[in-house]
Amino acid sequence: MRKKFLKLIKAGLSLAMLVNIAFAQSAGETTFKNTCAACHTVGMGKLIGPDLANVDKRQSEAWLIKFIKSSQSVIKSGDKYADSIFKAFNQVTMPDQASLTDAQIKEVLEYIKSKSPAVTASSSTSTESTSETTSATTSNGDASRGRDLFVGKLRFSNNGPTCNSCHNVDMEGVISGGALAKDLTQAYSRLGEEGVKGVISGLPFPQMKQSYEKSPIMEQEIADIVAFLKETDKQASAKSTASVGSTMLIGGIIGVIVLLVLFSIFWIKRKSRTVNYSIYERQIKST
Amino acid sequence: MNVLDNFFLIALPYIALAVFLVGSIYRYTYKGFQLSSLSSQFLEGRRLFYGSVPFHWGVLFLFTGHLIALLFPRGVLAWNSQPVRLMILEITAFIFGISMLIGLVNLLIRRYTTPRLKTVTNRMDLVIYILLITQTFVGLWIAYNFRWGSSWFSSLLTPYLYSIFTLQPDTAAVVLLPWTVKLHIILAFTIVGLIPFSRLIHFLVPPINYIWRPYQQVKWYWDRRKVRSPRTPWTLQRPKNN
Repeated sequence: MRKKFLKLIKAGLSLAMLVNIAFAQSAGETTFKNTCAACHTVGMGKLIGPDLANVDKRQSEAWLIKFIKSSQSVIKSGDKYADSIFKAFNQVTMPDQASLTDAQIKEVLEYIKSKSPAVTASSSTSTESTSETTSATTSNGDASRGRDLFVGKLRFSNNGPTCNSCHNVDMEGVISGGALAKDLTQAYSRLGEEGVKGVISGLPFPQMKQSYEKSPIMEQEIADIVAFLKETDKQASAKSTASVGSTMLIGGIIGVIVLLVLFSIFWIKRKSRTVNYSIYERQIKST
Repeated sequence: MNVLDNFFLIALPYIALAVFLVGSIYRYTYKGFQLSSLSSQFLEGRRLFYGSVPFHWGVLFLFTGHLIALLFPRGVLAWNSQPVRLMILEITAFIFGISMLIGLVNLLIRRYTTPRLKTVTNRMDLVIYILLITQTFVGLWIAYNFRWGSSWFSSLLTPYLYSIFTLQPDTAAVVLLPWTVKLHIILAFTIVGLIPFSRLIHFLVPPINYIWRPYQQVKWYWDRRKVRSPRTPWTLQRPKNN
């Protein structure tokens, strides 16, 4: 009786462990797909960030955890390897994943390890790894539609904010965009087609996530924008259209002058002296 | 950095809002008839006009603008979807921002160069002046350097402020904004927190009904001009003010 019971417990425990392992793996996978996949692949070439295949052979686990949590602090600490990667990938800051626990990161690393091609540890840094995947898909986007979407003449079907709220593109006939986020004139050559698509659909940057999480951009719209960015990249005119700032400044100053004149005219009948001016006057004279 | 961000972007807003609520109610209940800005028009009127009017119109326009972006973010984004309308909104807001700054600087100079005003000026007034001037300048700086604020306010800051008001603070996106934008947020909440302790309390009790209340009729029973003139000797009546 007792033996049977023990057996049962043993079986249950091992089952639980198995489930646990299976679950852990899938947890790593989901975390990877949700947070990493927009910029990284495992063995499929580089996107915005490096290919992560065999990343565990390049750096220690502790280093990776530190880097994933705050890449900039590792770079600033003078780590040469981190700095070289940062420079090789166009100095795009990897968002800090401070909300991930060590355990979660370990799960992700475990998942990457399991997906990594076993022998093909071809290069120490995957910088050289070819980006053939980028040319694999030919875009079917319409650049002029993409331009209207970017500027806002056409609204996104889910009513997300227009790209030029935060991003600028230097191109003739296109109103200067925002200056909060990165200039996207050269985004296409910086990130490649897959990279641009990845950022728009995967939303790896918190600000992008906040803006588009609840109003996602449709696939066709993404293709259009990519086509537009491809065009701006090609044209990449030397002349910059960054004169909007001065328009604003000049417009502001002229506007203020107009406003002050309007105030003066509107309240022309105001008492220009203090209410009790005549009282003071009278008292001074009468003494 | 993380601790600082959490303090300034999560703790400070709650502290400020709590202090504002409790403090204002306390001041209203126990220190009645004090909810004013202590007008000094009686002491100096000429410079006041070019300080107070540009400042108040500026702050009213901008406060309403921020409020609209908070309440109707989708409406603002829809408005901004036409580049021309976006430019109109941004430049108008910029104009009122400059107007506010000019007004504030004028008021500050007036207050500290008019001897009469010294007696009705306290230290908190100076603190408020400095905070408001800094805040306005930072706001203009942001509008100029990190364009189109009206759009990204609606898509980034509105969700952050909602998350504060619904007690589920989410600062993931705000933390990564430029430090000037963070400073603008921090100063805004600091000013909110100081409302009960300063002249700013008067914004809670604006005399809005002045706009539609009937005119007060003042009737005189003597020749005012004659009575007022210092040259008129006293005949029937002693001179009266106004």
